[in-house]
Amino acid sequence: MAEKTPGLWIEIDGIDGAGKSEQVGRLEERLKKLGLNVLKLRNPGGDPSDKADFGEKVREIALSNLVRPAKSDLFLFAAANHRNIALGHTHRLNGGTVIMDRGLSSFNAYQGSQGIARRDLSQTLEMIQDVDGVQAKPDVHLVLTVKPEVAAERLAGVKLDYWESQPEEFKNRVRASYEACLLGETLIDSNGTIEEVEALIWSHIEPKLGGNR
Amino acid sequence: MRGKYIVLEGGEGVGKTTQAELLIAQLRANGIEALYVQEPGSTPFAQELRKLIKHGPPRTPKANVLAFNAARAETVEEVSQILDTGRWVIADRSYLSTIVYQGHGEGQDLNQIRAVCDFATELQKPDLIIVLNLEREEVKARISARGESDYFEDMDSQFHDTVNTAYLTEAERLNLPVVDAAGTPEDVTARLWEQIQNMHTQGSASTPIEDNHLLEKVDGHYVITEAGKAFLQDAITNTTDNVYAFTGEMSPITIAAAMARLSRRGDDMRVTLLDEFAGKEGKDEGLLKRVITAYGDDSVQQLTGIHLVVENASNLLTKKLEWGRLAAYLEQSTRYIYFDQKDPEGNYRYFTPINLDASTRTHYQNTMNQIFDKYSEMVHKLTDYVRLNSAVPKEEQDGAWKGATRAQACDAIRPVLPVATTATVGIFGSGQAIEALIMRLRGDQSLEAQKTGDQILNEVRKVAPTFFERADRPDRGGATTAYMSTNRASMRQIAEEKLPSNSDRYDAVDLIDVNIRNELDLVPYMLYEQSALNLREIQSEVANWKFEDKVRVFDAYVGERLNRRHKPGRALEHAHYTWDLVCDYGIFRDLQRHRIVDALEWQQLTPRYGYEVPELVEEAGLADLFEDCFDLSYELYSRLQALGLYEEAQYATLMGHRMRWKIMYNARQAFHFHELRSAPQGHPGYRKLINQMHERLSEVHPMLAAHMKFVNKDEDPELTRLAAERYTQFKLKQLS
Repeated sequence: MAEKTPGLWIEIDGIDGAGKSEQVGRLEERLKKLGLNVLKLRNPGGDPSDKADFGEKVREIALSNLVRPAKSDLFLFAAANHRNIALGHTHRLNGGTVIMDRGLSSFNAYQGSQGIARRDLSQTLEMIQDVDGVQAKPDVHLVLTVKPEVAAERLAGVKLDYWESQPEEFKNRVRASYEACLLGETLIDSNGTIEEVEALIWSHIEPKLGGNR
Repeated sequence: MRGKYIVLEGGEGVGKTTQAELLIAQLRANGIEALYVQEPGSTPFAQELRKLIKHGPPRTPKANVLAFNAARAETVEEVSQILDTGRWVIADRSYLSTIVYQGHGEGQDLNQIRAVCDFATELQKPDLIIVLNLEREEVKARISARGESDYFEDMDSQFHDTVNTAYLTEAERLNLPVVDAAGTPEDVTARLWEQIQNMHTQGSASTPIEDNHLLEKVDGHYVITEAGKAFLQDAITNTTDNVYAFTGEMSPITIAAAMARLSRRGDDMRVTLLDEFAGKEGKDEGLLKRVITAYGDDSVQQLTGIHLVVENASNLLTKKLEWGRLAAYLEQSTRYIYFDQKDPEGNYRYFTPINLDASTRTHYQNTMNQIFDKYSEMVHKLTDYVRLNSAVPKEEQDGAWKGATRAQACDAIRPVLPVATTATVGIFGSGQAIEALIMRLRGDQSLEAQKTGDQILNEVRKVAPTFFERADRPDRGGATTAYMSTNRASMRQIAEEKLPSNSDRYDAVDLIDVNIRNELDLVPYMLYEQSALNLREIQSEVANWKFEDKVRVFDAYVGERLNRRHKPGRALEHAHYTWDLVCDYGIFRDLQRHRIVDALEWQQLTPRYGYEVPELVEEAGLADLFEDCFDLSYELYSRLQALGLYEEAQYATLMGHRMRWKIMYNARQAFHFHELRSAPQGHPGYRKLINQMHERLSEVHPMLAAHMKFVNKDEDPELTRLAAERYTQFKLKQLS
């Protein structure tokens, strides 16, 4: 049996209003045009094209306004994240390309900002990333950063979900966590135009595509 | 007062929900308000999770574990709030279900699950978890009568069995009560009520003594009164410093209970003693029982020791008594005592099985008496012979010399003592070790062992009844005993069916397996403690080292040993040796008592492997008498075998008959084992065996063997033992 060359796993993260959805959409287009077998997964959630997906059901609860303790959020996000990682890991091993719209960095930033201790958080992360004894992680891990006022401008008029409507102080902690690049992410300055940011992102991905084109 | 959090656990269909309702009613009848809580809880969020978990799309097992714990983190918050209002919670399932279903059932990493569950339930742990247990057939009937199903209940019946076994395993591990769920719901409720009724009269397992004149509370702090200090002065050795011992004033059982209590009470233990236990000895029968119920039998059992003596135990039984190894054992030595005394009825000191018919019994006792007659004759003659031929000058023939010559004669004649020879055994062990001993004996195939198990249980109950309640309870000790004997019977059947009955191998020493082939592979383990790397990392570093560098580590790790008590570190515990040995019963008796060994098991005793006549016996012209004993033994053994008395036939074998056994120990233990058992004071028989074993070990692990430099290869046991005896006498003289 011929060895498959593993594909590429890309995670794109960042604060609300950084333009993730737009960029993820454009990236998906580009990769598909190259003929790659692209699996897009989002967090919280799973495969958005499958309504009956476990992760998508989790997303409904995770974005809802139902009152719950921080630990419940931690485990709920962990459940969805783990499943995505398991799916992404397998897809990549089979030569496919994976785009994760949010993932480990968001887990780290949001759940950490909810007051979960760093030690407990790292332990949970380790468990989430454990797929059959291997610590699975993205090949390209980007975090889009944007000035708070730019983000606010972009979000103006949009209906906010549970997380987007958290207090300013929470959002600041999330932002600080992203920018600390605790998981070794690469920061992408996303204050520019959509096209500028797209080009910047592509410059990090194109060189890694080598064997898959 | 805060409420109690009680959890009902068990597989599908055991009746958790029904029992929860009935218990709530019963608590209410006793004036306690209790609420039913099920995971996920009752908030809208919890209800959404419930839908997802129970009826949602497929997911990875780990995602399942995490989703359960998302719900759980919420449930324990609800529970905690209820308990704060003084109401109780009767919960249908808890984290234990995740451990059982996802851990044992789906094979997820148990440690990971335990860590997640522990974290999720940090806020509120159950006060008591009870496992309901029910036969599979009964469960099936109940589930089909219910006609419902969900994600988990749809799984097959084998999964149900796995779940059941897992519950029992976890109950054992966590020391949880297991309640039989068979019978009418009312029967089961009554059994459950037994488990929880003690909790409802008080806030903790033990109650503070009312109007306690030993303690005062000042500004919320306990202050020990003069009377309290006086009590403590008698009970413990130091009333002010951080370290103290108990004087013996309080009973060991009460001390154990008080210690168990300290795990849940923040005060200085002296305060706890005065507050809850002082002066209650003998007055509050229920106190210990409540503490033990609340804190688990095992942990409290471990906190107290029991001294126990078994008189007139055959040498077959003595080994069974010492099987567990985790207690301290003392046994009459066959090396220093003459077994030539008769009891008032004219019998020597040997055991007679109770299940022999009259004629067999007479024959058995006649044969035994003949063997003992010959033993007595020989042992005296040989002592005289040894003394007469001693090279030690008359003026140096002191007490030490007498002792040494006597031991030499005893050693040489010991092989003719039958295994039926009785001895007194003294045992000191924790309550837990004694309980395990009782269950093992009661599950043994020999009647002597079974009877002794019953007798021990009977006697220890007189000193610590609460510790031994479950030893013969049908669902606990009874089940364990039955488990052991059923397994043994089915294994015997398979072995008889599939294996030849006779062995062709008589090797005294057979090194079956060495688990670290190359002793230099121990080097990474040796470096571990002083390094900050993962073992794999150390291994890959060391892999590139030169041979000399590895040897340097090896030598430095073992270091300069000045005496045999200088033992190298635990890295050596990674290497194991498995041996198959054939030696006489006397030697086995001496070697069997080592604790840090594994897999020690022996086969049925038989004359098949023959015996040896010691040189000394031949020299003294006693060989004929000696061999007569073996002939007598063989005749009796064959007769008992022919009657189908296989277990009993073993009593007729002699200590000089060889037997087959196996043992596994690690290299660190090998230092101790080989060096101690080759020492000059040792019996020549085992010294010889150990020397053979050591030779084999040197072939596979030459460096390690060379470091065991106190292995004594000296062939002259007579003189060396005399030196040892002299030293003992010298020590005694210094003491007096």
